[in-house]
Amino acid sequence: MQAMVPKPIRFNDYLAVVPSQHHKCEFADIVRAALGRERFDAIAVEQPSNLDALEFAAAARKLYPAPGIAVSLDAAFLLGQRELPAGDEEGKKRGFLTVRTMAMPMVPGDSIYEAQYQAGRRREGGDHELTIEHVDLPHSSGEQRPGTAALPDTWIVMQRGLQAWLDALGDRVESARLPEDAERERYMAARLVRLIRSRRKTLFVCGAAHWPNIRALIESEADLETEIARRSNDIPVSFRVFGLDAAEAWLFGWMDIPVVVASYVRHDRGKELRTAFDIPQAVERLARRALAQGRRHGEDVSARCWLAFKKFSHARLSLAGRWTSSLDADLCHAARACVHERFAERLKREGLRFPWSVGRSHPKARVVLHDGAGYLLAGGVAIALEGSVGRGEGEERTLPVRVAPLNRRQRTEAAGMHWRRMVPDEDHLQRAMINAAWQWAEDRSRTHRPRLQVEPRRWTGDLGRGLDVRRTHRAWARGESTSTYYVRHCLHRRTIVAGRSGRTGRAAENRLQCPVVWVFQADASMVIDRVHARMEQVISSCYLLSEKRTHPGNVTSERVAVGLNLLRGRTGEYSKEAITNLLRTLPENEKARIVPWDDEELTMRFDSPVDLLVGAAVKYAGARVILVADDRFEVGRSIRSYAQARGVELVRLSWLLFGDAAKGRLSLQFTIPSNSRYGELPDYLLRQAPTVPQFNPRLP
Amino acid sequence: MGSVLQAEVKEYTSEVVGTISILVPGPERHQKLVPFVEHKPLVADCRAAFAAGCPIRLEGPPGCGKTSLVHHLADDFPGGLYEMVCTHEMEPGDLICTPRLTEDPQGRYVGSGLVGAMLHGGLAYLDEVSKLSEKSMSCLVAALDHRRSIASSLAGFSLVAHPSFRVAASVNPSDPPLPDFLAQRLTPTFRMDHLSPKALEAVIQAHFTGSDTMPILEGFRAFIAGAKAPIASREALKIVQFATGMARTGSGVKSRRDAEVLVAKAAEHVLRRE
Repeated sequence: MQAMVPKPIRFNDYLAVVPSQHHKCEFADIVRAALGRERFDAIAVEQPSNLDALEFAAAARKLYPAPGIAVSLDAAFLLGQRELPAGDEEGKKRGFLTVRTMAMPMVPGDSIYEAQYQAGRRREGGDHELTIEHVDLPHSSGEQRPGTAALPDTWIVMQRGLQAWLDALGDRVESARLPEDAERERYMAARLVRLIRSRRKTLFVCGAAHWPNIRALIESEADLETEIARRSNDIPVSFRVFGLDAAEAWLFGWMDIPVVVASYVRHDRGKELRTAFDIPQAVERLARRALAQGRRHGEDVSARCWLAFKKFSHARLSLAGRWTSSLDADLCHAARACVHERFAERLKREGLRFPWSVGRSHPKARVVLHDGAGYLLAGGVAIALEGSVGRGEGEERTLPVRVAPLNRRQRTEAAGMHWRRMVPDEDHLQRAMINAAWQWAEDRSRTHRPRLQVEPRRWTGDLGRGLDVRRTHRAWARGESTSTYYVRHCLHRRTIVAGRSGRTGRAAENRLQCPVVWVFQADASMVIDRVHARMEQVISSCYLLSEKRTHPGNVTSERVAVGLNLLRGRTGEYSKEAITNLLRTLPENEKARIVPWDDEELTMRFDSPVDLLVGAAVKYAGARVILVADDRFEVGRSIRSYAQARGVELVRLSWLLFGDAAKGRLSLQFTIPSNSRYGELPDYLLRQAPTVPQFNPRLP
Repeated sequence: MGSVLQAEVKEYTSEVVGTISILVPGPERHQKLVPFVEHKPLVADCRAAFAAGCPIRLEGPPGCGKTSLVHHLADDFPGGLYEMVCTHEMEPGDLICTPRLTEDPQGRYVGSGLVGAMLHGGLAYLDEVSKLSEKSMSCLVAALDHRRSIASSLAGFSLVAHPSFRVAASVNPSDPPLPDFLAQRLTPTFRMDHLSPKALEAVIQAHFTGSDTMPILEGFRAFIAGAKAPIASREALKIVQFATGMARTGSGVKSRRDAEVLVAKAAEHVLRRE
């Protein structure tokens, strides 16, 4: 009989915690089962707060529809956030700089990835109120971390529960702590306290070493709220997501045996939620598969050697007090000792197999091994991963073949990598933001009426709305039993409307989670050109219509008009035609709008139209507002105090982070929400618009 | 004088196997060796193999520490260590039981170390097993697989081993490979290499603790730092031993330079490689 999955540690009524060992399926399994057993309002993970968790998760999901492997890197900080390193003249010119880049693996089989992935699935399944909170601060890469002592075996988790494993862990990881960990834990505790106070039921997934300290901080009831404001400048402004090969992720200890992780992912989809994933069985399957593959290629293994291999590998694990094998140190080593080198190689190749290829977006992202050190090359940037590869499990990992030689240019890049300038990957950022924004718009713009949603479901005797042939075929292709069928199943979705808190009576839950405000100067000709296209904005945004006037003394000022509304989108595409067609058929009364200039609270508080716009975003925001603007744009004091009073973070994104091509695309996609012509702008808008001489950003 | 030598003599005891009484050697009085730092994972692997009931095969060049490793592992066996140095000349009977020209019915047959280990549940160490003839090798197969038994047609017995009985065999890479039937039975195989200079230094320090050896050790440290080829632990011990002897009989060691000269001279004699 298979074991049941242990439950998370319950801190109080609002907080459940899964302190984990990274990249171990057992902990991912706990997260998966916890989310299956119980409904949570928020999922907090130990990931740096950069833009927003939703964007991050959405970006990863959209880039890699199957659970894939992604690595995000904290990239650039604006000037002023960090001290510019000496000699980085180019960074100075470009207006941003990079500090140590950070490799942040997001791989299946990791508890943090699992939390985000499951949350994403639930949101797609209709649970739009579930949020993902990234509660950590950015920190330096793992290569700086001293080696950890051997961790207690995960068998303890599966047999005796998380608390027993934590007790066994004790202070074994104390030596691996960095000075910055205390700061991070303080920040995480502050963010968790905020979640607890908001009475939102939260599942917190973090590294096991952090939890005892975070727990102590929360229990001390110290005033941690100031911590969040104090560290607001430490949030990096961009990230990139790229694919990494499973073998490479495994090499750096970011993934358990890839084929075992693949089995875990399949198990996740096919079996009962509460049944634990049997890792030893998956390892056994791997060995059998290697045996069968060897036979097919004429490399037979004698029964005697096979038995010796099994007995020896089991005895090794038992004596070491472990229940799961590692690929190199256990399986291949035993194969080499008991069978032959060829079988060990085959076992390794089979073990490194991962069915989902993820290298589409960044085919050049590669891990390079050179002179005992590792480098991660992504988009022309090398990140050092020094020290022994596979550190942390007491084993050295090697790939059968070196991934790529390090040429002279790469070597030069790698040498000065810590302070290299890195151009943010605008494509991914943009896509992430579109995805996130689309999600918000979609979530918030639904009507009250329950809506039927058709989803595939395993056939259990009820045919539902008929057989889902495609899904069934796909499941078979992925290795599920051919006796498994999927049917179309109908669900009722609860929906809400954005900006109509008065009607729904659910003000607290009806907030925009993270509006993105784009502040830039729109060119009048562009507005006129595109106003007939009826493009709808996907996010709450700002557009500025300017009328340039030259005053005596050669002083230029602009008349600025501001509009803000919210798109409702119901298609999964971002094509202009699809949205326009949809909107043409949409009844007028279904359109949700936020009209800041009609809001007395806002108009009384803010004079400037830009402030009015940002203020509206702050009013309807959840945790933070992302403000994309020129570096010279200054957020007014009134806005800052208003945001502080409401506990909303204002995250600045530099307009300069986007290349010209991206700006062009952004302007196409994010501008012009107006239903009215340029010449038909409401009078009150034009009347209210003051002259803003200090704000004069350039649109490409 | 005589009593000291007597203490080193291995005793044979009379054991009854079935209806036959044979003389069986006692366990070796092996030296308690310092476990090699580098071989610690190997020790764990060997213990795992023994726990799984498997015999082990150690492959490595001469002087890499195979025998020392087996001596270290033998401490785990209450039955003790039974060594057999295998040669081309060994007949199957030599590996099991040989007759003895005596009128004494109790001592007509003498069992080998392998039989002793099987009876007492000890560790049988077959040194240089690949030097055996194929005929001799084939008489080992039943002892090495799941049957765990051995038969002697000469003495007329078949013996099933004590549950604690295990086998370790050593092979030199320069020897011809083992035939498949034996190689498959002698698994897992662990490959060993010469010790690193650091580990070699630790071994030397553990063996020579006298105060007069200290300057020589200094000289030896300098010597291995500059050595181009790996040095076997056996050779390293010999070099230090010889250099210490030269220092004792000569004018002694007055400076580090003297020690280096002595060690270099000793090495020249010990490492006479073609």
